Amino acid sequence: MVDQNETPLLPGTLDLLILKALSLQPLHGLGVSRRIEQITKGAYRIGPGSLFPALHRLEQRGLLASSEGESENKRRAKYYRLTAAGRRQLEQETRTWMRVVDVMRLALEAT
Amino acid sequence: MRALAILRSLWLTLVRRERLEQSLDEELRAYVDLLAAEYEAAGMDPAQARRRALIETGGIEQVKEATRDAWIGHGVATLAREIRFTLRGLRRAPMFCIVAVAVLGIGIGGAAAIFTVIKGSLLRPLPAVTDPATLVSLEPTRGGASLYGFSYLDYRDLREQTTTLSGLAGYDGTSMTLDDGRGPRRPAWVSYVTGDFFSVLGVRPAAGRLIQPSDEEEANPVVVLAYDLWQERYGGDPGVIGATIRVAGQPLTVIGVAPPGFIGAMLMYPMELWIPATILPTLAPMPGMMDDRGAAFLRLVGRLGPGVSVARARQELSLLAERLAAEHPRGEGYGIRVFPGAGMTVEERAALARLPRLLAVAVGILLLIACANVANLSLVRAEARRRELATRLALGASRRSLFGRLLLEGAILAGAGALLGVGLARLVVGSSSVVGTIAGMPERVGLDIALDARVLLVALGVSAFTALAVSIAPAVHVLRMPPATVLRDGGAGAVRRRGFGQRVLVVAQIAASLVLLASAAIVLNTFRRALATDPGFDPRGLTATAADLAEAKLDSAEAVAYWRAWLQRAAEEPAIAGAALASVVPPAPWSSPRWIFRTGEEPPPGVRPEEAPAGGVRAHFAVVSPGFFDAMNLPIVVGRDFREDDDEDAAPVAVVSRRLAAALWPGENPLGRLISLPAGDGPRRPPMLVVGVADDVRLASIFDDPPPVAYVPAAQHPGHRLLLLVRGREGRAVPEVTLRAMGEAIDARVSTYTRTVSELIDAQTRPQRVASAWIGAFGAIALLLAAVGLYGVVAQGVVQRTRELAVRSALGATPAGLVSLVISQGMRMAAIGAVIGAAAGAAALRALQTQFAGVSLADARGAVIAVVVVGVVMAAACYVPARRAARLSPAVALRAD
Repeated sequence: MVDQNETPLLPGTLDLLILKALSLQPLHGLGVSRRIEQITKGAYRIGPGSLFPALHRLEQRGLLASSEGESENKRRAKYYRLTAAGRRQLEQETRTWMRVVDVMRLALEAT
Repeated sequence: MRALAILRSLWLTLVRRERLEQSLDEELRAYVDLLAAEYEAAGMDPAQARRRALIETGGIEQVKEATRDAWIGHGVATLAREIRFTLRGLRRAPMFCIVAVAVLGIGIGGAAAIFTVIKGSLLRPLPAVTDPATLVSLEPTRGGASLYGFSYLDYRDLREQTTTLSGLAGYDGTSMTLDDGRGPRRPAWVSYVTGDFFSVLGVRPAAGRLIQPSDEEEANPVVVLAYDLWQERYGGDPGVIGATIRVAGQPLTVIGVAPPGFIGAMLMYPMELWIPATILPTLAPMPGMMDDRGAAFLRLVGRLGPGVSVARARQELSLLAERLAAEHPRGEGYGIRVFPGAGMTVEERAALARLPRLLAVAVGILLLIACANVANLSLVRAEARRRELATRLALGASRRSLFGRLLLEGAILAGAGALLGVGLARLVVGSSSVVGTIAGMPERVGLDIALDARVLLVALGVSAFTALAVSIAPAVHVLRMPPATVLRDGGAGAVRRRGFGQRVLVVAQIAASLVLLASAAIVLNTFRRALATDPGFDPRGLTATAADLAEAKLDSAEAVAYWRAWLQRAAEEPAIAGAALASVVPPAPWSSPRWIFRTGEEPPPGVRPEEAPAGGVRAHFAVVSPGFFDAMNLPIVVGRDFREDDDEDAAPVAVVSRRLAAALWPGENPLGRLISLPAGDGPRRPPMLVVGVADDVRLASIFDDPPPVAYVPAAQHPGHRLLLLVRGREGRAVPEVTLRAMGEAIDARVSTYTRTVSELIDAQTRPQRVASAWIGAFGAIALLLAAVGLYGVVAQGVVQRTRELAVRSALGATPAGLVSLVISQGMRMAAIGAVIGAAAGAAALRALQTQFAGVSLADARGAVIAVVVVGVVMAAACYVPARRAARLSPAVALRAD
């Protein structure tokens, strides 16, 4: 579940956030959630009901890959990492997103 | 790379599903553990941390379900599961399934096969021509009725004047003798064409060149061979080009070969040779035919100009027709009909359509019965499933998913039925003999009809729609009701007056089946009777021989001598029991009746026979030699046969048939009376003395009642085209080779062709025999369908009454009493159905009578059989399940529901 008390999560942004969260290092599900919380300064907290469908969707599309790993407290867990295609997708989507933001800002701040 | 990943995922979802599920389960457990570990690290005690983590994660199952939805191919996997589930459900009702699938399959298969053949034959474009869709046919008409053809001059005018057609070609065909020194002379179909015939049709040669405009202009004696003929007679030897062959006795130079499959522009008459139309006067004794606007011997085929519609061409041609009629007067109401396509005249198309149309109606009814059967069965089943559906609803199934499942059930049944139907249709269409007989087309047209996908789709759609609509209709009814009502009702409704609608359906089904079965039986009997009728003479051992005297250029005196020589030789030949000459040999469908008058009442010159004040009789006119009645075994009832001395010097005489005598002089002695032919435009003709009365014979058509016939001696009526009629000894026909040898001994220039009269009769009755076979087959299938469907519906209905019967049994009814109760109720439905069916059947009969002469209620035997079959089926459908129900212990039956 998304905590929406301040910033609504626009459609399509969750996938982008997950790709961004995984751009530094492989993470397990909870790790992805925490990383998103961190990079959005706590604006978005992604619950498992949204997180896992998104992770599986991205993995099945070949943007993420997964492997067994061990967490810091020795719990075995499924770790996700970006594939080459995922990295390309992240770059491309980031560029698009930035352009949209610029254009929208210009448009909305016009007098 | 990504496509690979997607494929891998699909494979995981569909095939390695268990592993995927397991991994998801582990992943979520790890999530909870890791979350708990976080809280523990923050200072909570382990149990509390774990509880907190579980609460925060929320419903594990919901998370899982949401995640599964994200899997590629998840929908497919779900559908597969649903299908498996539905199939399990259907397996529990095997009778319903088998009947529904069989019924749909037979219906779809039959309909698809017939319509495919109809489409393949009736709507068949000319083979081996370019873009048949832009070809149009032109037919001259008078007052809307088709005339035969166009004269060459009319054709040239039209070709010059038309702007809507980019090309206009003339053609027609006839049988001529082919003599090329390779094997025996034989008749061949020769098409005479205008110079642009091949270019208008867009045909390219397989070898050499085709006829071109210069051949028409210069009347070049050239000929083009059909590919088949080239292969069969010349072994595909290209050296034949440039060779000379004789056609109708005239030497022609072979210039080329038409492409494989090309049969000319007449579907009903596949051509073997093509010659320029302008050389016709050298082949046929019709001088001046090219310059005579009255000599209409060309059919026309045109190619629409780019972007021109048929309507525009029609408009232009009707203007051109007016202009033609104004410049060259030709009687009132002349017009030109333009219709799309080429290969058949309007009349040919109509004749060809008769049998398939009849079959189409039969198949349509069959499909209707099939659908009604399935509908009934589904309704019965839905009634039985009301409780099941209501229970599921009460247990929380969504209406949408239930609805979907019912839809799926209908789709599975329709799909299986369609599969069976396609199989059956392929079987029928795959058999070329079956296709050939339905289509009634010459073999060489090459009717390899592929199963038509669109036809199949329509048949399938109709059936599927029925199956679906009916499997859903009752479901909608149930689903709208609060489950509690249905459940309560189902529990208490054991002896409720249930299924009024269902009973109505059963009655309707009985009635409909009876109508179809009775109609089929009646038509079948009518055909059978027609086939069994006595033609009025004994065809065994009879042969008819035609001689091509015109080709051998015999004048009329030589022709008389030729035939006289024939009769003489025939009298000497021991294998021949009798021989005679005749202008018509029955069956002669081409023979057209003429007006005969009592002498003194014939119209004066210039007055048309139908306007003669006293009225005449339309009778067939047969020119025969003495010995005709003997050779035909046709008894002379009163008076005498013709004699040798009834010649041109003697007084004109005639023999009339019984019917003609009865029409001209009812109740009086016809001997010694005089009859006359109308003079028409010529001089008054001498009256003929009636010297004998012959028995009636079906001269023109085997199916029609014997027509009135006037026989006259050949010696007094020269100039008629005659046939040699020969009767062999002991019912054995004289072989054609014997007759040909006899003919060559008389005059080697004359080609002769012999057919047995039995062959001629067979050819005439073939469509009817084929039709009766088909109708018989349809009747049998319909009977089967009706029986199976009726049994299914009635038996299911009885099974549903198990509870009611148990209650009755518990209240003291004996098993025998129960069975007789159910049967008497069933019989009541059958009786009502039969009454309605009889009323509807009478209406159908009236419709049939307009289609087939001689249909009458006297053929009701078939209807009786149908009633008996329906009655037996009803009784069995009631008895078998009722006995089972009656034998059941009431306690068991009541608990079971």
